[in-house]
Order: sequence, then structure tokens, then C-alpha cells
Amino acid sequence: MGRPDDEHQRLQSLYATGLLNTPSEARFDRYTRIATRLFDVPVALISLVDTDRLWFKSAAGTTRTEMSRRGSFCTHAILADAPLVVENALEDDRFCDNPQVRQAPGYRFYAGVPLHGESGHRIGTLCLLDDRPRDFAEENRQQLIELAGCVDDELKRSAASHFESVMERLVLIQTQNLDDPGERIRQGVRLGCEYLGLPIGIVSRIDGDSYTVLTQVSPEDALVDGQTFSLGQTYCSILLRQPDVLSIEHMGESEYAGHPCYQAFGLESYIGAPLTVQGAPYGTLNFSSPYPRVPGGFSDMDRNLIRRLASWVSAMLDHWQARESSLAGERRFQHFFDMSPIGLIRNDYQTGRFLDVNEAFLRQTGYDRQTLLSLCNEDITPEETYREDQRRLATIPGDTQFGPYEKTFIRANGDHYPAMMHGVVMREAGDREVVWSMVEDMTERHRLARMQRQFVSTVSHELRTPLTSLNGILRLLGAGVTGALPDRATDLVQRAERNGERLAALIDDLLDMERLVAGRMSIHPEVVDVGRLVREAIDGNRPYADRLNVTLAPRIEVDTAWVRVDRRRFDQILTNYLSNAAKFSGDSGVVDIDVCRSADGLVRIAVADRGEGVPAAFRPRLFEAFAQSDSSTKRSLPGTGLGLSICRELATLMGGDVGYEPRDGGGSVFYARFPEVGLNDS
Amino acid sequence: MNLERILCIEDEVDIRTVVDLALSTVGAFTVRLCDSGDGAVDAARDFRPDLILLDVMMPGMDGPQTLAALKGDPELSGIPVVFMTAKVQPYEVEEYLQQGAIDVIAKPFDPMTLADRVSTIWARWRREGVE
Repeated sequence: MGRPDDEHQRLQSLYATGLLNTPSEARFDRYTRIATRLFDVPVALISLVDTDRLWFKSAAGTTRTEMSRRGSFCTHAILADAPLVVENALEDDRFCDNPQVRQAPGYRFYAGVPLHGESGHRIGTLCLLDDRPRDFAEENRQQLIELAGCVDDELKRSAASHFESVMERLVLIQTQNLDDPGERIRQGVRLGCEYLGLPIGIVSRIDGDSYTVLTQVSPEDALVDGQTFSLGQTYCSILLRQPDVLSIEHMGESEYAGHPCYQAFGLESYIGAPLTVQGAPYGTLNFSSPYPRVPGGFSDMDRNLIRRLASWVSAMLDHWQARESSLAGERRFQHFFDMSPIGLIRNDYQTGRFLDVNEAFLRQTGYDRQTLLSLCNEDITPEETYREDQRRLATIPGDTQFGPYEKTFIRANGDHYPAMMHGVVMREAGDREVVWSMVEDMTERHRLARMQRQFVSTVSHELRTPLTSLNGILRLLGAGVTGALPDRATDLVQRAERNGERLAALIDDLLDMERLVAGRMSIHPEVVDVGRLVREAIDGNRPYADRLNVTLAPRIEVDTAWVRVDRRRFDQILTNYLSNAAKFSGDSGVVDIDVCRSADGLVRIAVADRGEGVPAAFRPRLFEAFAQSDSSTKRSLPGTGLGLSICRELATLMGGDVGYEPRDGGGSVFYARFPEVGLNDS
Repeated sequence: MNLERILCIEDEVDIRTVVDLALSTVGAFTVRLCDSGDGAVDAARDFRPDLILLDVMMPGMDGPQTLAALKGDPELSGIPVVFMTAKVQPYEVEEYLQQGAIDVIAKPFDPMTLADRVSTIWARWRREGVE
């Protein structure tokens, strides 16, 4: 005997009720009980026609729960909507050889009315059975049809209840402790397949024209996770043009019959919904089948389900991505934490106990992790330093950074070492206050600084010692201390002497610049009268000017003006200006030194010569380190090119500035300015 | 009391020569030269200088050790000592003064003004000592 034409859809509809293999329910049992009494038959069944069996949702008068579908009365009954009545099976060719007729229980009478699924397909029967032949009047038929209508209503409620149970199962899946979030989503998709009665379910990731199967359920693994298609090859290309759910019951009969997906895979029915993850379009959730879903098609409940299922999958993906992102963040942090060459530690704010330390800190201290995590900050900090730590931390409010400051730690072997600390006090989950600190072992840096100082000191000594002899001897010779030299010899000695002085200046400049660059130039400012300092500087440079036959002519306009400077460094600036001016003034030249107040509360000390001046193009770089005018110009500055740069740095360190301006009538004016202060300003 | 006798303790023979000329010929002081810190105390006891110019970097007893030895000798402890050195970073100068030197003359120095410089230091020391 053939199966109904809509067998596939009929089965989908049956499965959508979610009733198969469920326990008996009073709401169905009462109808079978009523039927046995009303029609005075020994057996009444709510029989659901599955693929190869009849399964009884309710059975009155028999303990059987199922029987073979082959040759059964119900298989015939679901072929049409009209009731099937067999008053005496022995006299009916269709059933006379049925084992249920020929053998025990030896049924003779059957009356069955089809029951319908939500989509309208006939999924089973409400039927009566008797082992005696019976008459079944029209009135009985109508009564049975009415009773079957009541069961139909209950089945519809079943579908609704099935929907709710799907939702409940989704919640259960959600709360399952699954390591693989992909598996959780796959279970949701499988649930959708079962509910909709569609064999293929896919969660896709769509990026441009690329359609990737993220998770899928398919018969005989027709699809695999990670498989990719062109979006145009899938029905999702239609779906994404829709605002919401797309459902197509019979693709071959629809406007999409020419779609490449239909042409390639022949999928007749399709229902899908878009997925949105973290507020952005992500892909689709879709279900499909090679069979059309007719005549019932997709119900509103189906569309509602896929909408809710898509929302659930979106939430799962959201959670998945957030988790991945959080895990990636944690992994990144852990990598940095582990790999950092700087010690990283986390201490309890209250107790100082080490809660976490990285490898770099273990290397610094020489402790193993287990030991260190049993210690407190106090245990590896000298007492004096620890008191300072406590004072410092006590003044830091939460979420505030501290440092840098230098402290001392005690290594496992008892040695002390200096460390530079930066950190932040934070409140963690659970309201615990912790101190995160970056700990840089300064031992090597201190050693290098010592070496550098030693190097500078040694170089300074080793260069200056022979220069002391050389310059000293040349100076004595040139001055005639050992007797008058021939003119030619005097000239040569003076040339040698000038170069010796230049070499000495070079060494001084290099050492000064090294200190300035390293930030080790020490400044000892004091409040002094600028006029007095200028006079002292002029006195100090007068012998040099005299030798060049240059006059230093001070014009100090201020009676007394106090500035806050380091005397020695101020003198160094003035000496640089004065010696340069003397050098470029030429024989019988005059260098004017002006000290005056400028309008902005500054005292200005200017040294002016009548030399060649500085080429305009070079002026912007005049105070830069190693700046030297083009040697082709007459005004090339001798020396290292560091002198003026050092002047600028020193003036800046003392709160002042330096500058240059061309002198009216030719020549140069170099000036330095410092804020005027009160005598008692400290 | 005038500055007349100066003892120069310096291991570099060329610098000793320059100092000698600068102080005795240019400055007209009576100068005794000593080539090491080890011989400094004996030289000072023998020469009885008014002021000592002392090099810092020397083989054997260096400048600070020599200064300590001079200060440790009751007969010599009152003689002012001026370091003469190329190592004049601020922290180094500070150390010399803490060790008991009354001043520091940086190398290289101008031999033509060295005598004046030493006289100025001496005068200031005398003035401050009196005060």
C-alpha cells in the first residue's frame, strides 16, 4: 500500500508536535476513555503514524504502545479526511490478511478519523477497535468526528506547548557547562531542525560575498563546519535583502526557481533569519530541506521560532565573541606579564602580601615563586625603606598612580638592590584593594652611571695632564719667562699656545655637554647682584683681552639688580661671550658690555663686538650643539661649536635665556637674560 | 705673615717644571718640588712650607691620602693645602674641600697667573682663618 503524497511534510508536521515518545498525558487519555464508553468498544487509540510504526499517544483498552505501520487501518485512514470505517475486516479485502485481524487480538471492527498537525497534514487518527464486527451508524461517525476535532485542538495546543518546550530546552542548553561554545550553538540548531522538521540547519558567517558555515546540522554530514560558499550561491543572498525572516515553502514554484542555490542543490523549502552580533550584521541562521513544505507551509509559529532561535544564536555568538575577546585580552596581558623584562608585582594593599609576580621579578630577587607568594613586601624591604613605602602608600587614594621613586629590595641571598618603582592602587572585584607595581632593577643602570662618571673623570684627567704641561710650557715660553725668543719662534709658540688653549676649551666643552646631556650638570643658584658678577667676569677675562689688545668696556646701567644664578655657570656664559667677542674684535677693538633692565622684569646682559657679525642664514642655528657657520664665511666660530649651546643650556637651567642680534653698524650682540628677583628670594 | 714658601707635590715632572717656573720665576716664591705623596710628609717637615700644592692622582699615596697624612701630623696639620687637579667635576671638588683642602686649582692652569691665584687663595684663607 502506498504512502500519502505528502508523507514527508506530514512527518514534519508530526515531529513538530513534539509528542512522539513522550509519556502519556491525562489531557489525551480522557478522550480515549470517553470513546470506549461512548461507542462501547474495548479499545480506543490516539494513534500517530510515524515512518514505519503507529505510536499511541494514548491507548484505552490495550497496553501496547505501538505496532507496525504495515497494512494497518490507520495508514489507510490518513489517506483522506473522511472517517475510515471497517465494520468487518474479514469481509474487507484491504484488511482481511492483516495480522491484527488474522491473529490475536483478532480485530474485526475499525473506525478512525484523521488527526491533523499544525500545518494541516494528517499525522494520525483517533480510532476505535473491536474484536467483533459492528454496525457504525452515521450518527456514530459524526460523534467520532467531533471527538477527533477535540483531540485536534489538543494537538494544536501541543504544538504551542512544543514551541515553549523548545524555548525551555534552549535555556537548558545555554546553562550547560560546555567548553566548546560552538557545540552549544550546534545543539540549538539541532533543536530547530527537530522542531521545524527540516534536515539541514546552518549558522553562517557572512563577510562580503563570502558565506562560511560556522556550525551546521546536516544528514550524513553533507556539510562541514568551515565550508565556504559564495553568498550568491545561497538563499541567504535573498534573506539579507529582507528586513526579517524569510520563508519559502516551495522554491521550485516560487519566483526564486532560477536561483543558483536551487539550481545547484535543489533545496525546496527554506526558512532563515539574520544574525546580529555586537550590534553589527553577522550572518544567518537558516534551515532547509530538499522537499517542499506544502500544503501547510511555514506557520507563524515557525517564523516566530526561528526569530527567537536567531536571537538566541546571536546572543550565544555575542557571548562567544566577548569571551574570546576577553580570553585574548587575558592571554595578551599574561604574555606581557610573563615576558616583561621589568618586574611586575601585585600586592595586597592592606597586608603587602605578594599575590602575583612575574619571572623578571623572580630573577631580580632570586626567590622562587612559591616562596615569594608566601611573603609580604615588608619581608624583602629594608626597615627604613619599608617605613617610607608605608608613608607613601598611605597618602595614595584608590585608582591613583604613584612613582617613579627609588627604593631598596632585599634579594634572597641577603644583598640589597635599588629599584625604580611605578604603580597604581586599584580596587579589584570582591572589593580587595591591591597595589600593582612595576619594579625596575636599577643595579646595572647605577653601575653604568658610576662607570660613566669614572670614564669622564679619567678621560678628563688623562687629557688635561699632558695639556697642563704643554700649555704651561708654551705660555711660559711665549711670555719670555725663560728668556726672549726670536720673533719667528715667538710667532710659532703663540700659534701653538692658541691651539693648546683651543684643545683645553674643547675638553671642557665636551665634558660640560656630556653632563648637560646626562642631566648631571649641577647648579647651585644663589641670589647675587648681577653687576658684581659681570664685573668679576670682565676682570677674569681682561688678561685674555689684553693679550689681543682688545678693550672690555662695561656700561652697567642698573645700580643693583639681583638675579638667582649659579655664580660659576653665570661666569662661564659671560666668559664664552667675552672671549668670543674679544677674538672677533681684532686688534684695538672694543667690546661693549651692557647690563640693563628690560621691560618684562628681566635683567639683560649683552656683549657687543664690532666683528664681522653672524650670517643671517646661520643665526637660527647659532645656539644649537655643534653648530658651525660655513667655513667659507669670515665669521666662522672657532672651537667645538658647543660653547654657545652650553651657554643656552646653562641659562635655561638657571631660569633665563640667551639670544643674538646683529649690531647696528656691524658686529654682533650676544645676550643673556635672567629674571630679576628680590634680595631675600631664596 | 706673607706667603713665601710653597711645596708642590706632583708626580708629573713636566708639570713640576711648569709650576716651578710659574711660582719661582713669575711669582718669586721659594718653591720646593716633591715627586710623590710618599715623600710629602718628610719634604714638608724639612721645608716647612707656608702652603702646599698637592696633585690628586699620583701613584703610591694619592692626593687625598697624602692630605690625610699631612693633617695627621701635628707639626704639619696647620699648613693650608690646595689641590691641583684635572678632576674637577662638582662632586669631586666638594669631596676635596670636605677632606680639608682650602681650595682647588683646575688643570690646565695659566702659569702666568698661577702665582696670583695662589696668593689670592692664601689671602682669603688667612682672612677667613683670622675671622
